[in-house]
Amino acid sequence: MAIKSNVVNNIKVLEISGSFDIYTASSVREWLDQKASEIPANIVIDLSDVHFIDSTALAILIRGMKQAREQDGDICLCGLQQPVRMVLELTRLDKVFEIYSDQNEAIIGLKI
Amino acid sequence: MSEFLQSSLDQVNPIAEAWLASGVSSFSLWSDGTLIKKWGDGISEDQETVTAPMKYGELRITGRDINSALGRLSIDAKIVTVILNQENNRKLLCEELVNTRDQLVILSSISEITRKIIDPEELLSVLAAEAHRLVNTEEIFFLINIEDQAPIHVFYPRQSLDSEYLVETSRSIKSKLQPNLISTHPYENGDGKNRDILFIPIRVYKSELAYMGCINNHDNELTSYDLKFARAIADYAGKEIEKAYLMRANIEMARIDTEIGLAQKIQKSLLLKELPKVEGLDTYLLFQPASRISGDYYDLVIKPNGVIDFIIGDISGKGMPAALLMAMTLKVIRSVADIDPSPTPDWIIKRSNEILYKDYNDSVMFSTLFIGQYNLKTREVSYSNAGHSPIIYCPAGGRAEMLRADSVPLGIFETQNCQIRKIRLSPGDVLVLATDGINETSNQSSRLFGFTQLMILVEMLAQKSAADICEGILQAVQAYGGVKVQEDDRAMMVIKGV
Repeated sequence: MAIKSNVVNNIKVLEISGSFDIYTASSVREWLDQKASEIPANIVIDLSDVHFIDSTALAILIRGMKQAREQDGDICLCGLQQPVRMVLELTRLDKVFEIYSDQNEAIIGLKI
Repeated sequence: MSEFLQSSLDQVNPIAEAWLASGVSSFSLWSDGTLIKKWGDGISEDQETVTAPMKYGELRITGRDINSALGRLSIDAKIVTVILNQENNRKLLCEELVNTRDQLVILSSISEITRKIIDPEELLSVLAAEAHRLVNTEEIFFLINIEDQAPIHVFYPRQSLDSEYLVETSRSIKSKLQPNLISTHPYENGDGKNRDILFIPIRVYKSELAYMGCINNHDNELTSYDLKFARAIADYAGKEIEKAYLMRANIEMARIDTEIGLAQKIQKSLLLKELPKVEGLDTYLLFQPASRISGDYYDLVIKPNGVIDFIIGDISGKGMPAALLMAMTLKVIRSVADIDPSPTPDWIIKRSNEILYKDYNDSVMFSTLFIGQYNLKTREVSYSNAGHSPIIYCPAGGRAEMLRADSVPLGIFETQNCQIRKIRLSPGDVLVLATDGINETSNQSSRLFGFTQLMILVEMLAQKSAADICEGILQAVQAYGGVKVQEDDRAMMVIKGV
């Protein structure tokens, strides 16, 4: 798994690629621990290149979301592939995160 | 030099006597203008002296009419040089052998002292004390920096230099070091004296990850004997450090293995081995953990009021944290479910979430949970699903459908808002409760087994017994996964109305 981050219009964007699971999630956790605590804590997680996600990864995203919301910010997801979308739907976590089709939509959505 | 010549005079005797026998008054050996030895003592007037230089000094003869003897004396000077060279080499070799023997004896005694020590810091403290005793140095230090281990800095008999300074210096000179070479670094300390710091690289796991150091005042140089000894101790230290870390790692692994064994025992005592008989139901249980401890849990409880609770859940993550939360969660659910009058599935989930939320939140984990309540009299099943994999419900002769979650798993939010829904479990109706280790089994191409296949399979097997349905699903999933190692726990309960 690889991660790449940048900032667009004051919104932090994290692009993840590969398998996002217990074996690869620590770098995302470290990034979120830092960025979700900084104000403004508005974050887009781009999962366009993620083909698999497990419960450990979901727990890390939830923790990041809680941290961001404590700073009056939020985390949204974008670019979900079908297997990843299904996992979120089955666990009803699709109701917890705002989900967008791509990064641009997500950035616009967070700015509003 | 004169000491060496004094000790080698026996080798020169025959030559001296041959000269005396030839009629010279005396034959003498000189070095740096100093008489080492004179053979013969004949002294008279008008005596001549002939001198022939050699590597170690000069030979002289005195007598009458001896000028023509220079040629012979020069040849003898060369012979004496050769003889004394051999004598010198012999002495050096003996010294070397004695030193090596001494080193071996001392290293052997150090080895006896250190062989039972498994703590690297304690080991290096002992080695530093021994090195200080044997090497002509004022201070000894060891610097060990191994990845994923705490750094170790040992000083003997005192620490006169800052650890950070020594580490920085070792890093700055590291690139200039070749294997087995050592370098010095002058350092001016508070009292104005220059000191030499000798860094001897120590190979641990085949890379230079450590240093032994000797600190001396600038005017107190280490001899070659000291350097050799220090090198030998550094090499020995490298091997012993590796052994100590390996032993520590083995002990740690054994400790973890024991802890996992205990956790496994506790989990086994918590989970049912098989489902109890229930009137009007054919039930079967299957549990295949992926490793010795598991985050999946399940239960079937027959209550006195004709209500059967069946429970299945899955803790996020793996290993000891998931196993600990699994035990805690199952205990809480059982306690909450045991409250009289019998609480509904949604109430059990909500109350369990309230109790467990802080633990899950602090651990950055969550638990999926499905609870169904079967009423023996009415055959009605009330259920709530908090984030768990869909339960497959296949009515007799009908199409399989998924009973999906309508709320998030336990531990996500402080309050749960799962709903309660109802189905009937009439004769021939089948319920398959499973954790995602079943539907998320992947094949060689990393494609998941999935719910579509699972539902088709349940429809095909629905007329069989609960045991056959369960085993049939397991066989299909195992065949699908092929030789791939099972990555996730598999728990499955099949409940069929009869």
